[in-house]
Amino acid sequence: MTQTDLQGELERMHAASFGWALWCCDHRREEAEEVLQTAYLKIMQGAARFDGRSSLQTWFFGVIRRTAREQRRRQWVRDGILGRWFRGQPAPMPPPDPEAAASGSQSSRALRQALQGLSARQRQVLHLVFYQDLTVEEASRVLKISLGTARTHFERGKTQLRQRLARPEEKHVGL
Amino acid sequence: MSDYKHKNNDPRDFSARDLRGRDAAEQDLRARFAALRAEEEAQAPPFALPSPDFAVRRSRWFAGKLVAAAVCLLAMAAAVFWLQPGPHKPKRRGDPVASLAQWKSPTDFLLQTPGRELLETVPTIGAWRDYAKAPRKPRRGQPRKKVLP
Repeated sequence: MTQTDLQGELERMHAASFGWALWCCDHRREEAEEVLQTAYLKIMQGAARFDGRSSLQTWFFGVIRRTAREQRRRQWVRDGILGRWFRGQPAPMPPPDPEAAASGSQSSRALRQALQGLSARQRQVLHLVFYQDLTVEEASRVLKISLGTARTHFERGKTQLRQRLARPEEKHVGL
Repeated sequence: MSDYKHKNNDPRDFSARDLRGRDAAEQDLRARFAALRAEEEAQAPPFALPSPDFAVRRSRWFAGKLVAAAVCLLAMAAAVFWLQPGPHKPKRRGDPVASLAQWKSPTDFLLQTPGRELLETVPTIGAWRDYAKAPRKPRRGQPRKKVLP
């Protein structure tokens, strides 16, 4: 695949990639934009190379996930350890963007809030399968987990999500 | 009637109904996710690859951080080396040792045993030294044995 073809594919997948970056960054928009730019940069510099072992989308989503994790680790070091030195106490992770959480239709807001109650892994598997239309197997490749584990997270996540959506008045007391 | 009972007890029937129910629930979830996706994709920023300047600036920034970290490490290592007490500390200039012959062991005094002068001096004819006058250590008397008649 030439550089031009790759750029075209990235452009075609851009909106979906941004959606995935948003989910990897707990809906912090600025952080998601930076993660996506860093992932593009990795590809341009050759730090991440597509070897054709999986689909381009699976591979690129894996790059985004790793980049988001690296960024979070860096931020944890910067705000946690250095913040403890300078301010005397660690800075907590910023909460999800409230504007983004409040935006959208009632159904989307309910879904977002219900998803907050699931584990990160369950959220990611559900997102990849339902939101990005990947198969569970492809989701397991993106997340670098076994197919069995991905299936377990998928089934449990679905069950919990259904329960949370069915009784919306009970679940968000603390939110 | 018996057919109805049979149908109700057929586990395949239950699983099929269960699957249908699950499919419906999944469809509902898919619809919700699709709506969410449409909303989020509408908010996506326009596609733009990072400019080469951005890459250069970022790599320079990264290299700068590496250099700063290396300098800090070197400074710490040098400080530890110079401030360490003990054998690495340079000797004072006041008392240099000229040669090995002049050197004396700090435990040399242990070799000065008492009464050493008796062994080191040679007795001379005509000179008398009364060793009896020298203070003697009192001897403990041995009890005499009684001789039986």
